[in-house]
Amino acid sequence: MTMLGKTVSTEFTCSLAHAFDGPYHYLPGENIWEVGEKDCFVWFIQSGFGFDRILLEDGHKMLNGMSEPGIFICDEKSLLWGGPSASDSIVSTPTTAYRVPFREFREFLSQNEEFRENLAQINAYFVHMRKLRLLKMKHMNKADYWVDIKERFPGIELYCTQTEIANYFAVSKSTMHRLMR
Amino acid sequence: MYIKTMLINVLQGFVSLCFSRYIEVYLRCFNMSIKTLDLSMVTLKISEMLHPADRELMANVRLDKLIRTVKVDSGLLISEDLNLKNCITVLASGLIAVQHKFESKICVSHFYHHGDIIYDTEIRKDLNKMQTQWYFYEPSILYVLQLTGITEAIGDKTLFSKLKVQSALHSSYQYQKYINDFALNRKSFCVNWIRRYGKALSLVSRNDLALFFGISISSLKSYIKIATKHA
Repeated sequence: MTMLGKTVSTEFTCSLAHAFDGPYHYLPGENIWEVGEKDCFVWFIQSGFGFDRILLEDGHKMLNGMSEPGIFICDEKSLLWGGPSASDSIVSTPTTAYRVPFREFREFLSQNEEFRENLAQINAYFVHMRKLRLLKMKHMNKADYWVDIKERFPGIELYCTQTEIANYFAVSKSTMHRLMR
Repeated sequence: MYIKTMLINVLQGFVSLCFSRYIEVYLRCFNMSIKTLDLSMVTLKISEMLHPADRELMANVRLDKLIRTVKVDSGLLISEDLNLKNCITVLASGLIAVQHKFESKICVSHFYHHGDIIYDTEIRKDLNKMQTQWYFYEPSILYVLQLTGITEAIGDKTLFSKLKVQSALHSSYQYQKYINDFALNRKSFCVNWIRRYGKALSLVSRNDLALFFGISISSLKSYIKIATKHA
């Protein structure tokens, strides 16, 4: 098996898969998790699409990203420093997911050297993706960026408000309105 | 005779070139001991980065023996000059621009300031997909905690594992914060940034700053005016 282009052992994959329980099924509009939940989990999305939003310190909720088949999602802040979740995740299509509690996931990470080594690689990938998003927000032609987003998040305009998409884009609502027309 | 003199000159030139390169590398990254006053700042930063449940692991660790102080000259950093793999690094002084090539332009995605934790994940050759580089605007000081040193010092791998996991997670989380700060209100982000890091105005060109904010030079000028008006 490969993870971000790097080969990982079957033993590692099996022990990682073993840590997860499920399947959990969700219907469109249901939350995988909500803001303020104390028992948080790392989720693996087997099928289905959805969006997660972060509650910022000033009370704004901001679109953070999309959940799609084959990815791991969670409330990052809570995973890093504990405390209740500061984000939520709502599914847009029927979704099946598996989960592992944060505490068990962290323990697994600390004890599994292979996973720790892979984690640096996984997070380098996230850094790369986020860097790219930051640069696109600042420098990419907005019309091209909107086409790019629609390709990556099909149906985004059906599931997210125009304000949320404008914030995701870092443009004003009126600019977003013009782009979406 | 003439050929012999020329050969000697060429050899001398070569030796001097190698030596100056050696001196340059040496000057760019030489070690000193950490200032006592800064030790508590670094200890606090690293402890805050840990999950609250793991912070007690730091209680019996004397970081002053484990932290190396690295002085880096201004200019572009060659990643091979500074090995930060398996390290947690705190920028003690200086200003670093994180530069990338994007659509054939050199763009700054963000800056590191005094007290920021920085990770080499973004400039490490094997992981650097966006040709990211660190540009040091002034001579800077880095405090580098070698994680493998911790295991040797305390004879326990637990803290090393926890710090390694946490630093990997933290490196990507930091970027999410840059995105959130920037996306919500660009004008207020720019004005607050200029207010908070006013010193950067004397170091970074207006053109680079405008590129960093993703705004025009005239917008930048007006934001600077707003920021400095109430300073």
